[in-house]
This record gives sequence, C-alpha cells and structure tokens, in this order.
Amino acid sequence: MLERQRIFAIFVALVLMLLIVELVRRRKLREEYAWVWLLVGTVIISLAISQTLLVFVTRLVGAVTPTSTAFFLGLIFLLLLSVHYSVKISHLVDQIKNLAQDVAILETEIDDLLKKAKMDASQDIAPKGADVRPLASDTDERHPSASEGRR
Amino acid sequence: MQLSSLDVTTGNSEVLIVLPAFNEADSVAQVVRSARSVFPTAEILVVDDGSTDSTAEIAKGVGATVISHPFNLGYGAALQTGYKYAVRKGYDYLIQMDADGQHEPGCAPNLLRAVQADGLDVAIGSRFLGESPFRAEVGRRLGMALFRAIVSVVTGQKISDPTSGFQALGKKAFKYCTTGIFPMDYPDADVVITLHRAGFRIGEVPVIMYANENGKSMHQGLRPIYYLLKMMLSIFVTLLRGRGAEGQ
Repeated sequence: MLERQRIFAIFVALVLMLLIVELVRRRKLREEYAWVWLLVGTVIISLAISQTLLVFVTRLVGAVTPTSTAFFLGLIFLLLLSVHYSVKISHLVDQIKNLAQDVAILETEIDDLLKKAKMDASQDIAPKGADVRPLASDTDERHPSASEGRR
Repeated sequence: MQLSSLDVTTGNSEVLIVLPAFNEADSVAQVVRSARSVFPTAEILVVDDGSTDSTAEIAKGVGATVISHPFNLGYGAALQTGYKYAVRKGYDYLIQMDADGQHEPGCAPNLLRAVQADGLDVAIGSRFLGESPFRAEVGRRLGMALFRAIVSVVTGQKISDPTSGFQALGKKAFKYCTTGIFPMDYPDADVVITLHRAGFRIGEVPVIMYANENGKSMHQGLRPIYYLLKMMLSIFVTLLRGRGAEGQ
C-alpha cells in the first residue's frame, strides 16, 4: 500500500471516530450503535498501520492486491450491517404494530366509556313535572329524619 | 344451499363478527346490515385499517363498533386487532369476513355451527365447495391451486380454499393468533399450516363468494409476486420451526 494511501486511511478513520464520539456527546447517536463504528475505525487504522496483517488477510481470501482486500472487507461489513438493521427494523415494526393496535382498542373503549358516562349523567337529571321539594334551610326547618337522628 | 340464522347466544357462548376494512366506504354499510340480519344480537366490529375515506364514520353510523388504526398496518394486523379485542372482551367465538361484500353473510351460521357443535377450532369457508359465482383470474387461480396442494400435503387433509378470509374461529384459536405467529400482511396458507402444526382442528364449510364489485383487490400490481415469494418463504420457515406448543 502506498504511503499516501495509508496516511489517508488513518486520517479518515480518525475523523470517523471523532465524529462518532461527537454524535454520542450530542445524544444524536446511541452508545449501543456507536461502538461498532469505533470498532470499524480501529480496524481501519490497524490494517493501515500493519502491512503484514493486510497481506495475510489478502492471501487468506485469495485476493490479488491489499486494496482489493480492503474493498472486499468493506463490502462484507456493509452487508452484515444491513442485515443487522433489517433485524432491528423487523423488531421495531412488531413493536409499533402492537402499540398501534393497543392504542386503537383503547381509544374505542374510552369512547364507549365517555358515551356511557354521558348517558348516566343525563339519566341522573330529574325529569320535567316531577314533584321536587325544596331542601330545608340551615337556620329554619330541618328535615324531620335528620333532626330525629340527632336526638 | 339452505341458509339459516342461528341463535348465537346459546349458553355462555358469544360470538363477535370481525370485518377488517380499508377504504370500504362504498360497501361497509351494506355488509354490516347483512351481518346484523343474520346475527341480530352479535356485536359487529369493523377494524378500520387507516382508511382515508369515511369507512369508520359510515360503519359507526350503521351501529357497528369501530376500532380505527392510526395508520395502515395491513390486512393481517387488522384481523389480529379483532382477535385481541375478542380476547379482551371474553368472546368464545369469532367470525371474520371481508367488508367489501365478497362474502355472503348468510353462510356464516354454518361456519359458526362447525366450531360450536362440530368440534372444529377453525372453520374455513371454501368457495370451491359451495356454489360461488366468483371466479378469480388465471394467475390468482394458479396461485390458489399451488397453495392448496402444499397445504393439503403438509396437513394431510384436503383443504380446498386455504386462502379464504371467511372463517370462524374458537377462542383457543383466535387467542393463539394474537401472538407473534400471525403475519401483518397476508395471513393465508402459512397460518393454516401453523395452526395445524400447533394442534388445532381445521375444517371447511361450503360458502358463497362474490366478485369484488369495485374491482379492488389486495393482490394488485406487483403484489402477487411479493405475495407468492413471501408465502413460499413463510411456509418453508414454518415447516422448519417445531410444532407450536401453545395451541393445545
């Protein structure tokens, strides 16, 4: 690998890692997703520094040049990351579906309860024409049963 | 075929009629009224799956209980909402039918009888056993024939219409379907296989189905291709999984 390529790779990896730390600091990225990107940065730096390691991996996968190896590893990583996100998304879809169903059912139940409460309230109001006697005042007459109870 | 009504409140059993609906403003009122004429005392639940028309309002207007999803979740999710509601309310039986008028409500009592009296957990309404005037287009018929063959081989019993959404379910079956085994989009042959492997007793009853007057179908555009591939994968992984223990 050319010296300039190596330096550029290390520079990109460091910028990536600093970016990840800043995103976590600003709470725009959760820690549980940050570590994988920090690991990626570490791997890039390791491969850029250690020519031996990169050559070993190149021979292992049967590639022609170390640059091909780097691209190949990058593609594999992105593929696995996509699968990981698909799994996460599937789980989130399930959670959202269950939440939406529960919300919909609860809304219907709340509507029913409000309707019943309104009906109960309207039935509590005395009908027209009923013999409604005024309550006794505090200083004058008392309700016979109440005054009898106090004796 | 003689159609008859049925007293659905015999003993302690109660039945819920579930109609999943997505933009069925043109047909939902008639379907609700027809169902009510067959089951005068049963609760009719319309699950509005994020419709953008007035499906929910119209259904409420004709006396149905309506549950409205905040956004479209899919036909399977709408059915599952109905199952969850039925469990919550303590129903013993559930009949599901489409809100687009394709399913003849007069056939529902026969489905219910099959789960109430004939010992089935799931009664599937088969258009092929009845005198249905409806014939699907060629592609759809081929797909149905394929899944019919697969389901029949896997379950060891002849099921002529495994993709039918006109069904009656007993409590154990619809409670089982409230779990994660139930797909959000197309609960079809894969659910029949899953239920069979979980030990539920499944049978068929002849029903009448009509063509969709609006010409709408959930299987339009590229969806049939997705449906075919998804169903094959779903059936394949269902066979890989162990027999579900939750059923019995």
